[in-house]
Amino acid sequence: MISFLMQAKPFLPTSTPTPSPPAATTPPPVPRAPLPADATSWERALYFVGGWEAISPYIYALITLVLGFVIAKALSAVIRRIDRPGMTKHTIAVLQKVVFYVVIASAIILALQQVGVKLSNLLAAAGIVTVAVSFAAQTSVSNVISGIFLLFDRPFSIGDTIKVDTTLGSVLSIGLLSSKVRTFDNLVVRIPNEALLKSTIINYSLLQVRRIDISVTVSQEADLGAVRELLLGVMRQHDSVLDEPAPAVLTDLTTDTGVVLISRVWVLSPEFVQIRSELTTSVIQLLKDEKIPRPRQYWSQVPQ
Amino acid sequence: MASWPIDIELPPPGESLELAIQQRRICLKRSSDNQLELTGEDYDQGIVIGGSPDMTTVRFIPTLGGLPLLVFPKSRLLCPAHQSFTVAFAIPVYIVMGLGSGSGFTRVIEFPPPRVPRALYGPVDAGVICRSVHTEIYATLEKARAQTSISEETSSEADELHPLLWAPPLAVLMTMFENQTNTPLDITKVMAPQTQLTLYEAKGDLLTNKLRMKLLGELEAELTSLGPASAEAVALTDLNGVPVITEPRPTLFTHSYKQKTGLEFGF
Repeated sequence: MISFLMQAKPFLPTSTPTPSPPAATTPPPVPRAPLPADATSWERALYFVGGWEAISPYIYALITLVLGFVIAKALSAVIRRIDRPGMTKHTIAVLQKVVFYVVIASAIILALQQVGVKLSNLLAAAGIVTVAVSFAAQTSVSNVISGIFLLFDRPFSIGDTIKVDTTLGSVLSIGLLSSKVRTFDNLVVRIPNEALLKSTIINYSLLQVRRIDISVTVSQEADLGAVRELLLGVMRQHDSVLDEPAPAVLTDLTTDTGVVLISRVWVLSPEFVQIRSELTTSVIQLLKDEKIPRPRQYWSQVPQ
Repeated sequence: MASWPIDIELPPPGESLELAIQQRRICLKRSSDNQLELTGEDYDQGIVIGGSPDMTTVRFIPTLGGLPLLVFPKSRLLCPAHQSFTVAFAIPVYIVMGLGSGSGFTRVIEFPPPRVPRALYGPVDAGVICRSVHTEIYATLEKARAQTSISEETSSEADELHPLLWAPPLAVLMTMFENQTNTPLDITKVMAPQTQLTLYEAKGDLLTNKLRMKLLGELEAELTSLGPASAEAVALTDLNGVPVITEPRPTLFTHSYKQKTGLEFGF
């Protein structure tokens, strides 16, 4: 058995030397023609860098990069001017970024190929680079990935009014690393995309209508039915209050000091702040005009 | 009886023209050959309007505005099982003002009805914003026309002004209800996409195309157009005299209210 195994060993070449194939003969370098004595400075510079053949790939690569950048910018500008009913600012911004980066990436690949870098080698190196980059630029990469999520997941769009933590304002831009929000006192707040993705975001613009709640506390002696009708009248008189869902006045609770009535109306989201202010003023005026008995601390606003 | 469009000659430079539109008085003063100044109750600071030097006329046409209509009948409408009946509603219209001459007019400003309430049709997260119209129910087209037509007598408040413009113009919307179910159904509202309605004129009165609302279930209906409500109706034109006829789709509107809104009340 052992001998069999011994026999079964793979054949190893004996020490008998086999004739190696003749080494490929490289052609002897062609001697360069000497630089003419009357050469211009341009010709001298070209001669010293190895001639046109040596530098032309780099020049073509540079031209490709510049052209790629110009085309990317031009396409981006064309997309920005798109004004179609179905295209929101957000969609246009996403399309702009996708087109810009695809054209730039294509130009870089073309340029690298022109200088002799093979795409396969590049892809092989990309794995190593990714590992290196992920350690070195962890935060930036996280922001970029969060930015991509924000662009496609769309928790908000450009122009929306949002609240992130304590920042309330309208979205100016959604970048790859960060997004910008303009607050209502005209400050621009830059929020890293990673922070945005982790935060609780309130979007005030996503839905077209909002409800306003105004609470009023009246004395327990007040005629609740009459007060309710008066409040409904104030709500219905306002042109911007939606007829449907219809305004409602609900009795919320009875306290030691009085009865809390909540008036609920629906308005268009962009008009919310203005109409809430107008309705609040009207209700205060109504309470004064109608001399509705009210407790000492009779007025409060439901926090929105 | 005057009919639409209403053309009024512009005064010479330096002079003004008094008008009353939708119960609001306005004054159009021609400040120069190519400028007009619009003042009035709703225009505290006035509006300076640019025009061409050859403008001679101010033209007014009615429109249904830019929002779908959500019509709320003031009385309860009850349609018994397998019955159909037709009623008419009165819809306030907008008035569009244009400036120009015989060769062409340019749209300048729109005068809405005295009050333009709005309502949401559908759920609060996906509904459609509509113009809300609370209207009486008229049994026949003639009764509606008698109520909505504007005569010289009804405009005593503005005797020197144009009566058609002064009283808020109303268009008659005829609607036929067909209950195809086995139970009597209440109709609380009719939603009509304004883009599918054509404004017609018949003997000085405004009409829209007649609608048919098939009640397919307690919360399900289908709206179709039956064409002009009257044989003598003529489609109104735009500012440049081109008839504005919308070609309604076979079905204007259909959906299950409950399925869409999740609410237990609907039409």
